[in-house]
Amino acid sequence: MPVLIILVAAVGIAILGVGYYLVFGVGSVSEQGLRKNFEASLDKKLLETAKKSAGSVQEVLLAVPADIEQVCFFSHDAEFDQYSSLKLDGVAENLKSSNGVLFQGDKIYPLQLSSLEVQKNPECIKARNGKITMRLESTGSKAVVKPIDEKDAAIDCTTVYYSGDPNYKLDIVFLADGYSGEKFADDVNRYVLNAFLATEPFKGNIGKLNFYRVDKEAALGCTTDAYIICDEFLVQQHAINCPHDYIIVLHNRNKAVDIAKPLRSSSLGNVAYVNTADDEFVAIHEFAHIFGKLADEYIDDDFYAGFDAKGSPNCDDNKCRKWVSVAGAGCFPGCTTSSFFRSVDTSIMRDYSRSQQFGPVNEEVLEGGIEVYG
Amino acid sequence: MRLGAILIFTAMLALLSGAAEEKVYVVLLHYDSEGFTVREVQVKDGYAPDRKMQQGSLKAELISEQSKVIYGFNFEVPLLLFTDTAQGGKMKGSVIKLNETDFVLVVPFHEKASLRIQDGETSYVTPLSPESLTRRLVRMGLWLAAGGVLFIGYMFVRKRFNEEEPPNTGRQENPYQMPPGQY
Repeated sequence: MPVLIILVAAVGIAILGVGYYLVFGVGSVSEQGLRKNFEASLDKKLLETAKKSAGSVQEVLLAVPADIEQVCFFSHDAEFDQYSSLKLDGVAENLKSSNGVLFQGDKIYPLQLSSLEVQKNPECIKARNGKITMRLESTGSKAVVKPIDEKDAAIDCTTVYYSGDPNYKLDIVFLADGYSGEKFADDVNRYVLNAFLATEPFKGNIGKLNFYRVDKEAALGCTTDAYIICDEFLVQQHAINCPHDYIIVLHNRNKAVDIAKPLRSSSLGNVAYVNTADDEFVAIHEFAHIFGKLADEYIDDDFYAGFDAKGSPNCDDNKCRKWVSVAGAGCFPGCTTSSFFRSVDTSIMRDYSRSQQFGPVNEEVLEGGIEVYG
Repeated sequence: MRLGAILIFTAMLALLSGAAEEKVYVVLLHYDSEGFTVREVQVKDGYAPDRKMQQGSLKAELISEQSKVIYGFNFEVPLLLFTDTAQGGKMKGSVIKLNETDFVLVVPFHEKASLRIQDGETSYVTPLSPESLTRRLVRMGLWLAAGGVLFIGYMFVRKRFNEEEPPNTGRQENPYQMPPGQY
């Protein structure tokens, strides 16, 4: 009988303990207090800064509960970048009377802050070890909030070029491998401007394309023995930070190093792995492999034994029937292997120093793909 | 009063936790001559490709608990790895034809969905929802509780059974023991 009583008591205590934790533990007094303190203190600091002359700056460090992940500030009056923060997507518009929010796992705690202004909308800042550091800058009437260190900025996805709703557009996301600092953003701009926006059919269909980049650092498990290839599982888990149909991984490589030890770019599935020491057109070439299923138009019989042109819209037998109706297309020997034929003498799929165009057949194939997008 | 406060607090928590995030399954698959196997499944916040380009002869479908197709698309296993370099603008490289590969499908999240891959006549079905830690703990707790109840029941029955047995004389006869004095 005593055993029974002890067991019943133990089970009862355990149930009561779990129940108490579930009801009271989540919103414990100390956590609520810390959150309220954070809101009140920040509101006061914003007001102080706003009263100072324009350009005045102060750095603040405020405590938050240890499991707060980030704070986001936003404005309902300015244009909102809905892809910048996965957590904030769909949340900010429902919080009409708030202009900030604390994130704690799946829970959100809205903030109401006077005198707040944002330059980036939203501006999200990571919490580290139970504290958040911010730079407040006065505009003369309001205070702009920014992270002190860019590494503290909690941005999931940065929109590089936006033409419309990603549900209807061709979305291309750039990921970084081997970068530090600002260079990645510059490189992405270079690839978008000098390659995609300079080459047909992408140039003429720019209204159907969105470009994004993920600035957050992440190990992608890349190897660079003879060509770049990364762990696709890690790549895809990183790419989901942005809307995407296709992924371009930029591998940061010094040109001098590349001359000494050339490294090939590559493509597999919906991912292109690009060596940045190469010209931007190599990225376009790789993208044509994954997007248009275009084969190489240069010849290397040693490597391509067993190649079958059936699956490649830009290689055919000596009759070139695949593109017989395409104006300006010819029939030139050599397409991946010497047994097959291509439609133009040269193109980006063969030698971009002689032609920085795809040629009519390849353009038609790529355009057919882009047309699927609104 | 106390109960009312708890109810209001619980309702507020439920409201606050309703963040409208998109979730996706990131499914790592292996393909070889034997067919497809699922290596790992992750559920994450994020975006899945819209798959407007339906390329490939294979079909992937998300199947609901009620066996309804809730999402589907065509795809192909990525078996051609193009590798390219440029020397003065002239492209050079090779294509590597893979016989087996690991590849990833990112699909929208649906609670308790299964993934069906249709390869001609053959289909492969695998459940995607990884059992959450909470659910596992609850299940483990239930098993422990059930075990505890059974144990208590057993103890109770055994005690009652012992009580109904004839009183023990305190001495057991050992048939193999020789009576004293017979050595």
